[in-house]
Amino acid sequence: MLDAAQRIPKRITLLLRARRAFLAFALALLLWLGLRLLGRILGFSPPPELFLGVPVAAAAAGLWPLSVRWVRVGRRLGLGGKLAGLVAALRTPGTPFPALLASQITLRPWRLFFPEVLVLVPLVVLAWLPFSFVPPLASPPPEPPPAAVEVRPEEESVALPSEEGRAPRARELPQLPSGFPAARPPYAELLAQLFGEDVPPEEVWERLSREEGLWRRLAAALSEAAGTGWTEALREEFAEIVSELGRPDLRSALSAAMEGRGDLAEAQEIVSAALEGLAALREAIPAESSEGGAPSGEARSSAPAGGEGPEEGVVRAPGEILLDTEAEAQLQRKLEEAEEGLGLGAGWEKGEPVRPGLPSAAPRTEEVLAVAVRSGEGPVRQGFALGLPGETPGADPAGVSGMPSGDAELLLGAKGLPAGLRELVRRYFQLLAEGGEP
Amino acid sequence: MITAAEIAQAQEAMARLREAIASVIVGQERVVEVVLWALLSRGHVLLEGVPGLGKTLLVRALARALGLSFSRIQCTPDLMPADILGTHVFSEDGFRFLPGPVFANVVLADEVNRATPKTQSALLEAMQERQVTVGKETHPLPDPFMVLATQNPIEMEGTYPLPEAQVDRFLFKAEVGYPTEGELVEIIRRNTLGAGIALPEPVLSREEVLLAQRAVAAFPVHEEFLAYAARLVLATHPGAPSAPERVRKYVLYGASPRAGLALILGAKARAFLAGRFHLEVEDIKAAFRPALVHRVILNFRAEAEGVGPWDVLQEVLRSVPPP
Repeated sequence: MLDAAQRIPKRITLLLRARRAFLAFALALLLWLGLRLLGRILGFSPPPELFLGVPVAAAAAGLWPLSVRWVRVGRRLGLGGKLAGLVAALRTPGTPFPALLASQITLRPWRLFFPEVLVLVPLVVLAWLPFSFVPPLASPPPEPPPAAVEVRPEEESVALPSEEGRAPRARELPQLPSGFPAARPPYAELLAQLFGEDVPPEEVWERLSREEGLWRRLAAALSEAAGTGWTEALREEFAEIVSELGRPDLRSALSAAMEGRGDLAEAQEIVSAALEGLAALREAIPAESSEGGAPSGEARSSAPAGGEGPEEGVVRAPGEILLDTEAEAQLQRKLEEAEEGLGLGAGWEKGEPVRPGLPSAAPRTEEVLAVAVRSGEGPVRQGFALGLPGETPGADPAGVSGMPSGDAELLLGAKGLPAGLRELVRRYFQLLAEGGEP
Repeated sequence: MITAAEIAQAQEAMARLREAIASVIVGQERVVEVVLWALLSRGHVLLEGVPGLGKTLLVRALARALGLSFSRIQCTPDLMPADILGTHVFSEDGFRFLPGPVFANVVLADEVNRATPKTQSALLEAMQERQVTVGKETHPLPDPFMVLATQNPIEMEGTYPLPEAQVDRFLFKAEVGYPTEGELVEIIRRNTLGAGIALPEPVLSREEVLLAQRAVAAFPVHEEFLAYAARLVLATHPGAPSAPERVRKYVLYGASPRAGLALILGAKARAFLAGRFHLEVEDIKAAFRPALVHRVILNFRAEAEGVGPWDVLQEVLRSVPPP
């Protein structure tokens, strides 16, 4: 009986440690959730390592030296002063009181946890709920799926029949806004609009290069998934690639396809369309700058722009373009040259609104470039040279007239532009033809 | 070393004693309770109340039910110490000690405040030391030994109020109040109808009393209760940081350390009488008034404003958080 009496305080001490660990765990979890919520609102993400603080706090609280207030604990357990009496009796051996008290004690350990659990568990649940309802305010809101580009009858008539099947879906390419924010050169504006974000022209090329590799890896992963199904490793790789994409709507569409909520063929279509668009854009810039002697097509993938040889020892993945500072500067120069090719050179300064004018014949380059095709990318297709009709800066706006829309359609169709980009360019020239300030 | 069976036997004996006293004393349960606490704690009780409330009857009934020796000392101004303690008388064998009335298990010192300070001092010394020294001889008092002194709070003419140091030697002070209407009817009925009041027969032996005292002495008390009692006592001191406002305002001297002993002993006895083997906070709270009310000395301001010790002590009890 004395052993049973001695076990009671030990058991209660253990329960008290467990209770303290539980309280610390719940409070640390609440703190963590609060931090996450704050981060969601203010646009920062607490380091994931911080979550380790939750179990560490619980363990530390459970192991921390414990000073038991037996009278209070006894009251919590519904034992009154019996527990304190037992502890006191055990300290004075040789009396019958420990056995007498132990025979009167019936432990109900749940009473130790009763009010705290009732309070803390709903608190944790309440703290969790905002994550389901509060969107991250500081991160860009998910883009609504762009409306399908309206295809006009005359466009269909001029479109090459071979392009119809492989034209990228219109939803991947955003619609041009109704009015151009013409604070930048039109070509950069077009590229920025194509990427769906308002990025400066200097970043466009860099992002294009960066994401092209991602898209190619996505294409490879998708074709593998179509063949073998989704394996765990494949799913992880795919998720990792998708998370690096810049477009939230594409990320969600591809994630949905991977999770089975969307169609795999649809995901492949998205990736294929994106690759086609990127390939076209990738070729557009060197084609524009080919007057400076830059290599074009696939050759540019393995050699830095400007004709310099590849850096020794550097292995590049197919289709991946690595940029260093020097190459970036060269590309920037080429971009500026391209802008000059668009008629934005003489008399035009960066940031100056571009006035509509007649396209000059000089910068047009109609050379057709062959694009190397890798397996899974689709049929061999033609690239295009950026021979966009430009404007004559400083021309009298009153005497300016836009290119006839039929001519523009023919020109764009012959260049093999993706449908979305073609629509952007078409609308651009349509605005110019209407004589409005872009 | 006391056994569980002995504890049970002692608790049963005390229950019998309570029944026996209750058969004689109408009401006054609180006073009877305090007297039993003092008996179990080997202490003495100061019974304070106006005449005719049954103080003497209570003591007589207790002594009779206990089956112990009982003596009564009617204190008057001409009472001498030798009248209480005893004296040497000359006989054929020479001088021999003739024990006084204090040599009894239960001693009733009626109207103790009417005795002179010299006689009071002799009695209170015997209470404390549990022995009497006359001349060069020391005579131990019988065990158990318990003094129940009474005093009248309203008749101050020709009295010698007990000095604070001597009041402190009473473990508890029981304030005997007026009976309720129902109790008074019962008192009248018992005293006017029939053969009058019959004192109870002895219901427990001297050994059982000593056994109960041992059981209470061995009663386990956790340190948190001891600390609570200490906090309560310290809070009666006007200079203590924990003293409430009324204590600072009205108390001249706070309770002595004996008050802490009385608190815990009273709480233990109360728990024992309730058939428990452990203390509750309520035990200490219940023992608070009889253990401290005669140990707090109020200042003139309190007297002028009609503030009594219990008025101050109630605030102490409220202000000190229990464990």
